Amino acid sequence: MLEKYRYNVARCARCGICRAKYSEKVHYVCPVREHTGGFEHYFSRGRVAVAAGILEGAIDYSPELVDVLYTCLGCKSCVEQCGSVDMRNGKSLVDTAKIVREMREDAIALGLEPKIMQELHATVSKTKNTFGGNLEEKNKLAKKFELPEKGDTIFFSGCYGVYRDRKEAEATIKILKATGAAPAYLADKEWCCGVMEYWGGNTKVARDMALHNLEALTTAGVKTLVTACSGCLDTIKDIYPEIIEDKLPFKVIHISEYLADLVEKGELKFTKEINKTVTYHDPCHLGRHARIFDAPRKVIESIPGITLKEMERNREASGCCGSGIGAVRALEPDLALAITNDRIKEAVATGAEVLTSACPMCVEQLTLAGRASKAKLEYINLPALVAEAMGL
Amino acid sequence: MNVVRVKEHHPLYSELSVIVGSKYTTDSDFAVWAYSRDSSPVPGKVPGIIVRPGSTEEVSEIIKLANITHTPVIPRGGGASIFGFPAGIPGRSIVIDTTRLDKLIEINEENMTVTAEAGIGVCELGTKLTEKGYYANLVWAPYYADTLGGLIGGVMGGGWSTRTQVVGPNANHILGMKVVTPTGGIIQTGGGPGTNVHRKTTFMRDGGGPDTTGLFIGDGGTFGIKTEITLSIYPLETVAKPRGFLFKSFDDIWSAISKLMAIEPFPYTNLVGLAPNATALFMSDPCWVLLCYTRGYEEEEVTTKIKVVDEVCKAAGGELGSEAIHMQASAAGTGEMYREMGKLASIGMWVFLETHVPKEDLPRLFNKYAELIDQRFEEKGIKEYGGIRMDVMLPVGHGECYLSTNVYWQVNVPEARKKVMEIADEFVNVTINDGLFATTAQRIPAGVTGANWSPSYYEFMRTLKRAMDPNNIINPGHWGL
Ligand SMILES: Cc1cc2nc3c(=O)[nH]c(=O)nc-3n(C[C@H](O)[C@H](O)[C@H](O)COP(=O)(O)OP(=O)(O)OC[C@H]3O[C@@H](n4cnc5c(N)ncnc54)[C@H](O)[C@@H]3O)c2cc1C
Repeated sequence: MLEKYRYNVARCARCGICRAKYSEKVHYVCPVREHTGGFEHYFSRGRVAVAAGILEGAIDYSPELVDVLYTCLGCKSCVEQCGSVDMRNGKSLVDTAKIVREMREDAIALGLEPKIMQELHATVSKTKNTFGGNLEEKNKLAKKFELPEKGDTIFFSGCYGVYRDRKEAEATIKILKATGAAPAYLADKEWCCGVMEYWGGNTKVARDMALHNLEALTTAGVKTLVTACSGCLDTIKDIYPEIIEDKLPFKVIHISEYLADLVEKGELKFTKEINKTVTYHDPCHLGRHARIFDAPRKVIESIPGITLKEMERNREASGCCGSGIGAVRALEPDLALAITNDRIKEAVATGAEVLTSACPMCVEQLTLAGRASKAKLEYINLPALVAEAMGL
Repeated sequence: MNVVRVKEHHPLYSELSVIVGSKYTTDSDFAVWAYSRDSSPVPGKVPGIIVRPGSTEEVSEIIKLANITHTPVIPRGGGASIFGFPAGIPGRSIVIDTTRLDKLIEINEENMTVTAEAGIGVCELGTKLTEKGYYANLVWAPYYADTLGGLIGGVMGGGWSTRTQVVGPNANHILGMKVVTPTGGIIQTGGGPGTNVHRKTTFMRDGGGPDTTGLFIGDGGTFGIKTEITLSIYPLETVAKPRGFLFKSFDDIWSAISKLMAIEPFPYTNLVGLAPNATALFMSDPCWVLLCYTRGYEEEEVTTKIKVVDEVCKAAGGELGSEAIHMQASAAGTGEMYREMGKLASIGMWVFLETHVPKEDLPRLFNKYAELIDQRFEEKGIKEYGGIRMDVMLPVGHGECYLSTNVYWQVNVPEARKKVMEIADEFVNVTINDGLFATTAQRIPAGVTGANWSPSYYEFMRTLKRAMDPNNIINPGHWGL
């Protein structure tokens, strides 16, 4: 409920640093403002002003406003640029991604959820995954790699790893096995992490997913959860504690952190050189949300033969891939594509041959747009790149 | 929770959509609401419709339509004004959001000028000039939010840059502008194509007749909408040194400031005096602090100037600060201290009580206003809302000082905002009654300023406004006009 953020909404100083910035790295802050009519309600300051208007009872939710709310990517570029800190808890004072999420939740409570989102959430509720796939697929994956259901280290595939980018999931499992992690896998007991439901404002479905997964994970004896999906990582690590109002009794890490640790210890063994220039796209949920910027770079740079070339906007200043946790892509495909194309252009401008990322959703979005625009790039998810260099 | 309401379109929605395109026209209730406030606690006024024109010609068409239909127009840049947005007529006004007029037209390295559209962000302009080794006088803050047109129109003197203290306000560095007049005409001021049909570009301010450029500087947008602006540019300095000095009392720090500002040429580029209530933000043992930042083109020149600063400060009882204090001087001098405004927002909501004071009156008035604000803080219980204040003084030129008490508070309840605003309103009135001047051309100070014009000056301004804006279309009521 937006009411939870009344203090934060009121504390936005409306200074406008989220409107425009032009510096070495950041030429614009909000990609949505850049590719729409650019009115205040398309970027942070205006969105927060609208929230204030709702809280003051001056304006109402309407289908038109709901459409605008679902243009927010939740990428937190504005939050990063704002930089204001809530002195009470050290968190972002004006977290627009969260404020918009709460507005979406309230709009849903009023029966104003866009039809496409309703259908998506109904699919997740029914099939326990984003794509309406059969959970049996997860059992097949477990069987193929002989993964036990219980163990200290649990691999969390997420929906993308099973129903979209099987290469990513398989590469992650191979890496974990080859490096002695002995991963277990919940298989059909692993439900969607709830990332799209949470950020889409459907808290009820997100909560159902979270509570189920937490129980399944606890039963499986998890000590460390490893995932290759930045959405799953951030949701389980940061959102689940918020949902259960408690700390998690286990550690959640991204495969890039796991690998970076091995690189640090000199324990990651490669068998093949990859003589290519690579550029890395920071997924919003791994970067600005979960604050993991160094680990994937450390891993890429450790691969023999690879030269890493940074895009102009990188790390904290990275551009979003345009997917917006799938919601913007589903509801505003043209807007999403325009944003992705910006990122593709930046990748091409580095002169790199390969575009990699550490999130299957980003890789999919970038691949689709990049291929459509005939950009001369190869697209590969980080685990697949590492697995190739390890000869797996 | 709120229920859904359906609203009718603004009467000019269709016509405006034809001019700027429907993508750049909106009158949704939430859209106009988001344009109702600036970055001050001054209560907002909700306009009727917003447009984002992409050319001077489109601005002109909008103004012509507004004249035919007698609809008020409010120009808007970054929306970073600090003392209230022009009120217009709530529910009817057309807000012209100028931020699509954001092109850098030309950097002329021979004539040392830059011409840009008025809606360009000053950060973009500043960065592009820096990349080429130049600077223009723009703004300390809000570096990332101000537009060029909003800065020049919204601040008396056209704005304060990080070099204003020695080179004067931006007005001194503006060469000319393209302006859409309140009846929709397009004029070009300054020594350029507007005042000589045989010229293509502007290279000087004062050619071609009376200095009409000045009419559009610090006017709050009342006399026209700036769409292009030409400024002087300068080579970036290559050497800069910071200096911070600690003082025991107001008298000591003022003695140093007073002596330093009398020196020609100035031994500093910036000089900021902070009271202990301001230094408490970064010092465990707060005291009076003087932050000095000296820029130049030769090492020797800067070192010599810094020596002068050292001598004067020491003679006034100052103690050389630590490296951390010098870094504060650097942050103040480059503008970094204020640029990342999230840091300010973290301190609290703000209102800046600012005024321009002649040097001779500064000690008396500094203490008078400090006492007044202390008293009001006490009476209104501002500390209970987490209220703090920071007193700052900056000399400008040889005879003027900018004085500011930055008030921050934490608890955003309407009564806190109301009480703080009562103090701010009183401050503007008291300072103008003391014969001083406000810093911005924004709603509250413009109202008080206009109310204190002499009858003949008011009459002159009214005649001017009526002649230029017979239907009182642009920012009606601003300055009381
Ligand atoms: C924290 C903070 C610190 C500040 N520090 C400084 C400082 O150091 N130096 C300084 O100079 N200023 C400072 N300011 C003031 C700021 O520069 C002004 O408020 C400035 O006017 C804002 O520019 P804007 O583009 O946001 O204009 P807006 O707020 O959008 O508009 C300001 C006024 O200009 C008019 N206007 C806007 N665009 C145009 C146009 N194209 N043509 C005609 N009229 C127009 C508007 O109608 C309005 O009356 C500070 C403000 C804040 C919030």
